[in-house]
Amino acid sequence: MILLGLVWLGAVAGCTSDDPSAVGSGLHDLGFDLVLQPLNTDQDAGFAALTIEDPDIPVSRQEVLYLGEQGGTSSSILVNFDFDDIFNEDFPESLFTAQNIKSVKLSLTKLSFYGTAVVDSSDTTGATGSGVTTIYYSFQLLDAPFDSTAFPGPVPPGPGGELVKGPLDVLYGNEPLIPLYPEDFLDWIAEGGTRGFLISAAAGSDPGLVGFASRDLDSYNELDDVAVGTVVAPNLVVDFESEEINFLLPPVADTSTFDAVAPAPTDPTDGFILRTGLRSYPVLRFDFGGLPTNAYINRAVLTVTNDTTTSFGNFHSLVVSELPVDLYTVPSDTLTLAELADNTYVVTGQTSLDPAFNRLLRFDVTQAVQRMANHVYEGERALVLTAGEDFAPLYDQGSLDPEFYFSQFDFLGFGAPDSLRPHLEITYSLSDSLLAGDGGEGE
Amino acid sequence: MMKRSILILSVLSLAWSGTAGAQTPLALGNIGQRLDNEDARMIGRGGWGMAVDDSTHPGFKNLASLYAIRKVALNFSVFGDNAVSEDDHGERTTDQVFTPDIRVALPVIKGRLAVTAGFVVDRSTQYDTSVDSTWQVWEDEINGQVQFLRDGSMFRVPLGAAFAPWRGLSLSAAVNMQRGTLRESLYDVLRDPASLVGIPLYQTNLLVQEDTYSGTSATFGALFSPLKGVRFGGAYTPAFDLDVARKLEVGGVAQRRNTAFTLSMPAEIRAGLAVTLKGRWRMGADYQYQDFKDFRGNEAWAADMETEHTLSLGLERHRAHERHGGMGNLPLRLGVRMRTWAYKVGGAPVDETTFSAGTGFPFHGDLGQLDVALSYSMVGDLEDNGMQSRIVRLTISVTGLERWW
Repeated sequence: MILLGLVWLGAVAGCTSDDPSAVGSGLHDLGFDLVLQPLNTDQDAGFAALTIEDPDIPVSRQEVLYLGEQGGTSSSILVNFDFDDIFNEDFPESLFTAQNIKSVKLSLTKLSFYGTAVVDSSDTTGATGSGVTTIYYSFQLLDAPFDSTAFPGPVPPGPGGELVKGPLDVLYGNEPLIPLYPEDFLDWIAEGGTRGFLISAAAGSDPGLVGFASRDLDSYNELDDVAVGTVVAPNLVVDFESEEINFLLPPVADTSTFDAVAPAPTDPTDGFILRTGLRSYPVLRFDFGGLPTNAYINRAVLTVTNDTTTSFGNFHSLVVSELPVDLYTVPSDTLTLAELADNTYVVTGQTSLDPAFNRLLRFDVTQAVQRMANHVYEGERALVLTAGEDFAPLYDQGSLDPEFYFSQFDFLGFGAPDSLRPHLEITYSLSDSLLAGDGGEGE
Repeated sequence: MMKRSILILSVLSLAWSGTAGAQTPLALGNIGQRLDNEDARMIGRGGWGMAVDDSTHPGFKNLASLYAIRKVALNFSVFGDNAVSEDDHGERTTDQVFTPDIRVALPVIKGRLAVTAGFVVDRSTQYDTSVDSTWQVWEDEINGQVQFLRDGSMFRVPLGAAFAPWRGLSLSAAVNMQRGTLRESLYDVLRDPASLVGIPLYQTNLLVQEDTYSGTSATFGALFSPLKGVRFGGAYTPAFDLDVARKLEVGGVAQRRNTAFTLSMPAEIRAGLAVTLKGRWRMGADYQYQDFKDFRGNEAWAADMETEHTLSLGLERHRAHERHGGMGNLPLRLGVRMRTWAYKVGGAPVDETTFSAGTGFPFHGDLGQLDVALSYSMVGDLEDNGMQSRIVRLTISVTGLERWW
């Protein structure tokens, strides 16, 4: 009998109940006055375009050298070669004669994203990597070796004169070899010393910024397969009549000039940008004045529209983070990457966004808006859009940091039509019970 | 052996039992269902026990009857029940295990004075519902459920004494620390649309209201035997106040609302009669009365308040010690209990009728007893109240007696 009783107790304690159903519904007193309220909020007067600098990786230390012009930004490549003490046991001075030198070429290694196929005449942007930007390479001497700390900045002066043999020839492949005059090379080694050179895109080149490997490149996954022994920096390659092996002279310094950088708009009415390479991140601040006290945020979505006709560059993660508004000044400011990392609280993000394809971008910022609505912070907070930086590991794909690729998302501004302008779609609920009376108190 | 049995059953019962107690949708509103918190011996005979006078099998329903104990008495009960509830929406079966009552009594002057303490759940409410719902916002149609859970109990910790000033009369007084909680949770589960990995795009609403009760009451009892084989018992609990601290919060919202108010509980009267019949048989009846029309403190409940009254009737055949008596030596109990709840549901009073039967097994040396009762309750009426529950319950109680000094 006792045993039977225990079996019974065990059976009814064994979670054998039916799942909750509508049986009994409608009897309870408690009611959530649930009305899902839509609220479209506009920006407050807190927009800022932040320039983010990374002192550890100046332009001259970037892994990629950029050549060309796109979206108001133009860049050439500067290289310094040291012609002192270039001879050795394998390549004695006796080899370097006009009779024995078959050719001298400048070699570049293009990143695979910028394509290696034959030119697609229908691709006029050169931005997507689906085609190839045609470049007519120009190689000129500078008056002096360049100063690596001067960039981004204007192209240093030079005496002029084209050093490329056949400058209007189209060079295909991911390792263009630009022919030079052997006599010039012999003059440079005869005089010795360090010389600076300018590599630029000559008139007639397609628009578009194209990236090449610099002497600092470590991310070899971004390159197509290259020939054995290839040194991926801009090199001078000498081919001898008498030798089967080429002589290769690497640069002692290289850099992109970024002699013209499109300014990030500080008035978001007509648009704003998010840029990698030379980082520029927009900060948006919204007006929550229309949000009732004690609203529960069921959903908050930040929507921005990317102008795919002008945006360019490689795929990127985009991340939305909270940023204290007292950290920056409007309408623009400059922060270090460390300052940004120390002061952001990552909310959400998306990965693998194509600047030339992904148009409507929606970010779930529910938790951030709930925090702001709850006034959990001292001071105000804004939302900053960044690329996949190290401080957002969930969205920091691969080993590439955002300074690697120069890409730009052009977003439509607050002057755009309602459905296209940046806005927050907030869905909230209210409890009248919580609001009623005067007995409420915060805890 | 007895100690071991008590220990095992105690552990099992506490392990199995939860915070539930009532499990009928009729307890989804108002002050909740009165629990049958008597031990299995009383439940088996319909619930009567106000006029018990048994030193080897003490009853705690009327503390005045404890004067007779001569050993330390420990009593606890555990029940498991299966409820089938029905309304216009269909039928639902629920199961639970619960421990409504744990008591101890100590003799101070054997046969004349005893003190007692315990834990008794008087009222309980536990039920949950889920209704498929649809909401519209932006261009989205949101599908989900409105889920409601009501869970709580009113319990007391009685500290009392029983004293027999002279033979045939005993009196008792107890101070009851009244405590309890009532937690109501309302979820609006906004399930669809969802992300590709199944995470809902819209976050669920959660509104929680939690009441915490505290107060003090007193109960005075008496047991009177004017004639041999006839006993009367009675108890009176004057009206008392329960202080209620209410906390209302919405999940995800920092602001909370804390309020305080007082529930005025009406006085309660209990009376009972026990008569010894021929042979091993005796019969008894109890009546309980508490007029909740005098209840104050919650305007939302006031309109539905009723007079709660309970009538328990039953027969009991005492156990015997006949050699080779077999099953015939076991006690046998039969009874019926009729109760009208403290509040209306669906505009009509809620009637509860329980039929019960039970027996018991004495421990060696008459040092206690294990009792079992099987009962069947019909709560509410589909036509009058819009819903009804049918509950099958097995109650097991252990009463242990020890000479601890």
